Amino acid sequence: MKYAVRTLFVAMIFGLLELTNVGRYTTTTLSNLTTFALFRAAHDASLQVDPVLASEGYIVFMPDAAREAFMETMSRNLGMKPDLTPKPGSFIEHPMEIVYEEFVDDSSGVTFPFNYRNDQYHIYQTLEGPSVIYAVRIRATSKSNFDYNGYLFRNIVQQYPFPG
Amino acid sequence: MFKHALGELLTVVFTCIILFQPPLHELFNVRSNAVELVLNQGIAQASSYDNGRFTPEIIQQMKDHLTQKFFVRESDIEFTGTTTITPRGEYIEGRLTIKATPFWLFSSLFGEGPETISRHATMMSEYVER
Repeated sequence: MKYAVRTLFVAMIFGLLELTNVGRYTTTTLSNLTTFALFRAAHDASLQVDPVLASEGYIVFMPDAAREAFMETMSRNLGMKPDLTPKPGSFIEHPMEIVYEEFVDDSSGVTFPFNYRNDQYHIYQTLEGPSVIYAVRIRATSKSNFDYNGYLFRNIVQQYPFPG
Repeated sequence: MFKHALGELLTVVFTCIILFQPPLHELFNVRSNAVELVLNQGIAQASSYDNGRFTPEIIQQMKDHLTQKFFVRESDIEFTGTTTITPRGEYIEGRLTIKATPFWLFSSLFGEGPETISRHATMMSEYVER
Protein backbone atom coordinates (compact mmCIF):
# COMPACT_ATOMS: atom_id res chain seq x y z
CA MET A 1 0.00 0.00 0.00
CA LYS A 2 2.88 2.29 0.88
CA TYR A 3 4.19 1.69 -2.62
CA ALA A 4 0.88 2.68 -4.21
CA VAL A 5 0.62 5.84 -2.11
CA ARG A 6 4.16 6.84 -3.10
CA THR A 7 3.31 6.30 -6.76
CA LEU A 8 0.17 8.41 -6.42
CA PHE A 9 2.21 11.16 -4.78
CA VAL A 10 4.68 11.17 -7.68
CA ALA A 11 1.73 11.24 -10.08
CA MET A 12 0.33 14.28 -8.30
CA ILE A 13 3.64 16.15 -8.59
CA PHE A 14 3.75 15.21 -12.27
CA GLY A 15 0.20 16.50 -12.71
CA LEU A 16 1.17 19.86 -11.23
CA LEU A 17 4.20 20.07 -13.54
CA GLU A 18 1.99 19.31 -16.51
CA LEU A 19 -0.38 22.10 -15.47
CA THR A 20 2.50 24.57 -15.65
CA ASN A 21 3.30 23.16 -19.10
CA VAL A 22 -0.27 23.73 -20.25
CA GLY A 23 0.08 27.33 -19.09
CA ARG A 24 3.31 27.69 -21.03
CA TYR A 25 1.77 26.30 -24.21
CA THR A 26 -1.27 28.54 -23.87
CA THR A 27 0.79 31.67 -23.37
CA THR A 28 3.13 30.78 -26.25
CA THR A 29 0.19 30.20 -28.59
CA LEU A 30 -1.46 33.47 -27.58
CA SER A 31 1.85 35.32 -27.93
CA ASN A 32 2.35 33.94 -31.46
CA LEU A 33 -1.23 34.68 -32.48
CA THR A 34 -0.95 38.25 -31.22
CA THR A 35 2.44 38.89 -32.81
CA PHE A 36 1.45 37.64 -36.25
CA ALA A 37 -2.03 39.21 -36.19
CA LEU A 38 -0.48 42.54 -35.19
CA PHE A 39 1.93 42.34 -38.13
CA ARG A 40 -0.92 41.72 -40.58
CA ALA A 41 -3.18 44.36 -39.04
CA ALA A 42 -0.45 47.04 -39.06
CA HIS A 43 0.40 46.11 -42.65
CA ASP A 44 -3.21 46.70 -43.69
CA ALA A 45 -3.40 49.95 -41.73
CA SER A 46 -0.27 51.16 -43.54
CA LEU A 47 -2.01 50.72 -46.90
CA GLN A 48 -4.67 53.32 -46.00
CA VAL A 49 -3.17 56.45 -47.54
CA ASP A 50 -4.85 59.49 -49.05
CA PRO A 51 -5.07 58.64 -52.79
CA VAL A 52 -5.16 62.29 -53.93
CA LEU A 53 -2.02 63.24 -52.02
CA ALA A 54 -0.38 59.93 -53.04
CA SER A 55 -0.88 60.84 -56.70
CA GLU A 56 1.06 64.04 -55.99
CA GLY A 57 3.88 62.06 -54.40
CA TYR A 58 2.99 62.60 -50.74
CA ILE A 59 2.23 59.66 -48.50
CA VAL A 60 -0.27 60.75 -45.86
CA PHE A 61 -2.18 58.16 -43.83
CA MET A 62 -5.92 58.40 -43.25
CA PRO A 63 -6.21 57.72 -39.49
CA ASP A 64 -9.87 56.63 -39.45
CA ALA A 65 -9.51 54.26 -42.40
CA ALA A 66 -6.25 52.93 -40.95
CA ARG A 67 -7.84 52.23 -37.56
CA GLU A 68 -10.78 50.55 -39.27
CA ALA A 69 -8.52 48.34 -41.42
CA PHE A 70 -6.38 47.53 -38.38
CA MET A 71 -9.37 46.37 -36.34
CA GLU A 72 -10.93 44.50 -39.25
CA THR A 73 -7.76 42.51 -39.98
CA MET A 74 -7.02 41.92 -36.31
CA SER A 75 -10.53 40.58 -35.65
CA ARG A 76 -10.44 38.38 -38.77
CA ASN A 77 -7.09 36.87 -37.81
CA LEU A 78 -7.84 36.31 -34.15
CA GLY A 79 -11.44 35.18 -34.66
CA MET A 80 -12.76 38.01 -32.49
CA LYS A 81 -15.75 40.33 -32.77
CA PRO A 82 -15.23 43.53 -34.84
CA ASP A 83 -14.68 45.56 -31.63
CA LEU A 84 -11.85 43.16 -30.66
CA THR A 85 -13.72 41.45 -27.86
CA PRO A 86 -13.62 37.65 -27.77
CA LYS A 87 -16.38 35.47 -29.18
CA PRO A 88 -17.98 33.06 -26.70
CA GLY A 89 -16.11 29.76 -26.43
CA SER A 90 -13.02 30.95 -28.33
CA PHE A 91 -9.42 30.32 -27.25
CA ILE A 92 -8.89 34.04 -26.57
CA GLU A 93 -10.78 35.02 -23.42
CA HIS A 94 -9.95 38.71 -23.05
CA PRO A 95 -10.33 41.76 -25.31
CA MET A 96 -7.45 43.11 -27.33
CA GLU A 97 -6.69 46.74 -26.49
CA ILE A 98 -4.97 49.19 -28.80
CA VAL A 99 -2.91 51.23 -26.37
CA TYR A 100 -0.93 53.36 -28.80
CA GLU A 101 -1.28 54.50 -32.39
CA GLU A 102 0.85 56.95 -34.30
CA PHE A 103 1.37 57.89 -37.92
CA VAL A 104 4.64 59.32 -39.15
CA ASP A 105 4.20 60.47 -42.74
CA ASP A 106 4.86 63.35 -45.12
CA SER A 107 2.49 65.59 -43.13
CA SER A 108 4.44 65.09 -39.88
CA GLY A 109 7.16 67.59 -40.78
CA VAL A 110 10.02 65.09 -40.57
CA THR A 111 12.55 63.96 -43.13
CA PHE A 112 13.38 60.31 -43.76
CA PRO A 113 15.37 58.44 -42.56
CA PHE A 114 13.98 59.50 -39.21
CA ASN A 115 15.01 58.18 -35.80
CA TYR A 116 11.71 57.34 -34.15
CA ARG A 117 11.82 57.21 -30.40
CA ASN A 118 9.05 56.33 -27.95
CA ASP A 119 10.20 56.03 -24.36
CA GLN A 120 6.80 55.09 -22.99
CA TYR A 121 6.53 51.89 -25.02
CA HIS A 122 10.26 51.42 -25.64
CA ILE A 123 10.04 51.66 -29.41
CA TYR A 124 13.25 52.84 -31.02
CA GLN A 125 13.61 52.50 -34.77
CA THR A 126 14.98 54.29 -37.76
CA LEU A 127 12.13 54.87 -40.19
CA GLU A 128 13.15 54.72 -43.84
CA GLY A 129 9.77 56.05 -44.99
CA PRO A 130 6.22 56.85 -43.86
CA SER A 131 5.19 54.39 -41.17
CA VAL A 132 2.42 53.45 -38.77
CA ILE A 133 3.22 52.58 -35.17
CA TYR A 134 0.93 50.46 -33.03
CA ALA A 135 1.14 49.03 -29.52
CA VAL A 136 -1.44 46.56 -28.25
CA ARG A 137 -1.96 44.56 -25.13
CA ILE A 138 -4.03 41.52 -24.20
CA ARG A 139 -4.44 39.72 -20.90
CA ALA A 140 -2.99 36.21 -21.01
CA THR A 141 -5.39 33.27 -21.03
CA SER A 142 -4.89 31.68 -17.66
CA LYS A 143 -6.03 28.09 -17.17
CA SER A 144 -4.78 27.58 -13.61
CA ASN A 145 -3.16 29.41 -10.71
CA PHE A 146 0.26 28.46 -12.06
CA ASP A 147 -0.20 30.43 -15.28
CA TYR A 148 0.90 33.94 -16.08
CA ASN A 149 -2.22 36.10 -15.89
CA GLY A 150 -0.79 39.53 -16.66
CA TYR A 151 -0.77 41.47 -19.91
CA LEU A 152 1.15 40.61 -23.05
CA PHE A 153 2.38 43.78 -24.75
CA ARG A 154 3.33 43.86 -28.42
CA ASN A 155 4.31 46.75 -30.64
CA ILE A 156 5.14 47.18 -34.29
CA VAL A 157 6.50 49.76 -36.68
CA GLN A 158 5.19 49.11 -40.17
CA GLN A 159 6.49 51.08 -43.11
CA TYR A 160 4.21 52.02 -46.01
CA PRO A 161 4.75 49.40 -48.72
CA PHE A 162 5.66 51.38 -51.85
CA PRO A 163 4.41 49.69 -55.01
CA GLY A 164 7.53 48.54 -56.84
CA MET B 1 -0.47 -10.05 -2.99
CA PHE B 2 -3.27 -7.83 -4.33
CA LYS B 3 -1.73 -4.69 -2.79
CA HIS B 4 1.62 -5.50 -4.32
CA ALA B 5 0.06 -6.13 -7.74
CA LEU B 6 -1.87 -2.85 -7.58
CA GLY B 7 1.32 -0.97 -6.71
CA GLU B 8 3.20 -2.55 -9.59
CA LEU B 9 0.38 -1.86 -12.02
CA LEU B 10 0.12 1.79 -11.04
CA THR B 11 3.89 2.15 -11.28
CA VAL B 12 3.97 0.83 -14.85
CA VAL B 13 1.08 3.04 -15.98
CA PHE B 14 2.37 6.20 -14.32
CA THR B 15 5.95 5.58 -15.46
CA CYS B 16 4.73 5.35 -19.05
CA ILE B 17 2.72 8.56 -18.66
CA ILE B 18 5.54 10.45 -16.96
CA LEU B 19 8.06 9.36 -19.61
CA PHE B 20 6.04 9.70 -22.80
CA GLN B 21 3.18 12.14 -22.23
CA PRO B 22 5.20 15.42 -21.98
CA PRO B 23 7.03 14.85 -25.31
CA LEU B 24 3.67 14.27 -27.03
CA HIS B 25 2.32 17.60 -25.76
CA GLU B 26 5.59 19.32 -26.63
CA LEU B 27 5.52 17.92 -30.16
CA PHE B 28 1.93 19.05 -30.64
CA ASN B 29 2.79 22.54 -29.41
CA VAL B 30 5.90 22.80 -31.59
CA ARG B 31 3.95 21.72 -34.67
CA SER B 32 1.16 24.20 -33.92
CA ASN B 33 3.71 26.98 -33.69
CA ALA B 34 5.40 25.75 -36.86
CA VAL B 35 2.14 25.94 -38.82
CA GLU B 36 1.50 29.47 -37.53
CA LEU B 37 5.03 30.59 -38.38
CA VAL B 38 5.15 29.04 -41.85
CA LEU B 39 1.71 30.40 -42.77
CA ASN B 40 2.76 33.87 -41.60
CA GLN B 41 5.85 33.78 -43.82
CA GLY B 42 3.74 32.50 -46.69
CA ILE B 43 1.06 35.17 -46.46
CA ALA B 44 3.66 37.92 -46.07
CA GLN B 45 5.19 36.81 -49.38
CA ALA B 46 1.79 36.30 -51.00
CA SER B 47 0.64 39.82 -50.19
CA SER B 48 3.74 41.51 -51.63
CA TYR B 49 3.33 43.84 -54.61
CA ASP B 50 4.68 41.38 -57.19
CA ASN B 51 2.55 38.38 -56.10
CA GLY B 52 -0.88 39.42 -54.82
CA ARG B 53 -1.86 35.76 -54.28
CA PHE B 54 -0.48 32.44 -53.08
CA THR B 55 1.57 31.39 -56.08
CA PRO B 56 2.37 27.65 -56.58
CA GLU B 57 6.00 28.48 -55.61
CA ILE B 58 4.92 30.02 -52.27
CA ILE B 59 2.66 27.05 -51.50
CA GLN B 60 5.45 24.60 -52.34
CA GLN B 61 7.91 26.62 -50.24
CA MET B 62 5.58 26.40 -47.22
CA LYS B 63 5.24 22.64 -47.71
CA ASP B 64 9.01 22.23 -48.09
CA HIS B 65 9.60 24.21 -44.93
CA LEU B 66 7.24 21.98 -42.95
CA THR B 67 8.62 18.74 -44.39
CA GLN B 68 12.31 19.61 -44.15
CA LYS B 69 12.45 21.55 -40.88
CA PHE B 70 9.58 20.03 -38.92
CA PHE B 71 9.43 16.51 -40.42
CA VAL B 72 5.76 16.66 -41.41
CA ARG B 73 4.86 14.28 -44.25
CA GLU B 74 3.93 16.17 -47.41
CA SER B 75 0.80 14.03 -47.78
CA ASP B 76 -0.35 15.27 -44.35
CA ILE B 77 -0.22 18.94 -45.39
CA GLU B 78 -3.21 20.65 -46.91
CA PHE B 79 -3.44 24.25 -48.07
CA THR B 80 -6.43 26.26 -49.24
CA GLY B 81 -6.27 29.94 -50.02
CA THR B 82 -6.45 32.78 -52.51
CA THR B 83 -4.73 31.72 -55.71
CA THR B 84 -6.14 34.36 -58.03
CA ILE B 85 -4.49 37.76 -58.31
CA THR B 86 -6.06 40.16 -55.83
CA PRO B 87 -5.89 43.94 -56.31
CA ARG B 88 -4.15 46.19 -53.79
CA GLY B 89 -6.22 46.76 -50.64
CA GLU B 90 -8.35 43.63 -50.94
CA TYR B 91 -8.05 40.64 -48.67
CA ILE B 92 -6.18 37.48 -49.50
CA GLU B 93 -6.44 34.55 -47.16
CA GLY B 94 -4.96 31.15 -46.54
CA ARG B 95 -5.58 28.13 -44.36
CA LEU B 96 -2.80 25.65 -43.63
CA THR B 97 -3.74 22.31 -42.11
CA ILE B 98 -1.55 19.41 -41.06
CA LYS B 99 -2.38 16.09 -39.47
CA ALA B 100 -1.99 16.30 -35.70
CA THR B 101 0.37 14.06 -33.76
CA PRO B 102 -1.23 11.93 -30.99
CA PHE B 103 -2.18 14.21 -28.11
CA TRP B 104 -2.67 11.60 -25.38
CA LEU B 105 -0.62 8.48 -24.71
CA PHE B 106 -3.71 6.54 -23.54
CA SER B 107 -6.42 7.98 -25.73
CA SER B 108 -8.94 5.47 -24.36
CA LEU B 109 -8.44 7.03 -20.92
CA PHE B 110 -8.20 10.72 -21.80
CA GLY B 111 -10.13 10.86 -25.07
CA GLU B 112 -8.98 11.57 -28.59
CA GLY B 113 -7.10 14.80 -29.16
CA PRO B 114 -7.60 17.07 -32.19
CA GLU B 115 -7.25 15.30 -35.54
CA THR B 116 -5.69 18.24 -37.34
CA ILE B 117 -3.74 21.40 -36.59
CA SER B 118 -5.18 24.23 -38.65
CA ARG B 119 -4.35 27.92 -38.87
CA HIS B 120 -6.04 30.68 -40.84
CA ALA B 121 -4.55 34.01 -41.87
CA THR B 122 -5.84 36.96 -43.84
CA MET B 123 -4.15 40.14 -44.99
CA MET B 124 -4.55 42.82 -47.65
CA SER B 125 -2.77 42.50 -50.95
CA GLU B 126 -0.15 45.03 -52.08
CA TYR B 127 -0.39 43.95 -55.69
CA VAL B 128 -0.18 46.66 -58.35
CA GLU B 129 -0.75 45.91 -61.99
CA ARG B 130 2.09 47.09 -64.21
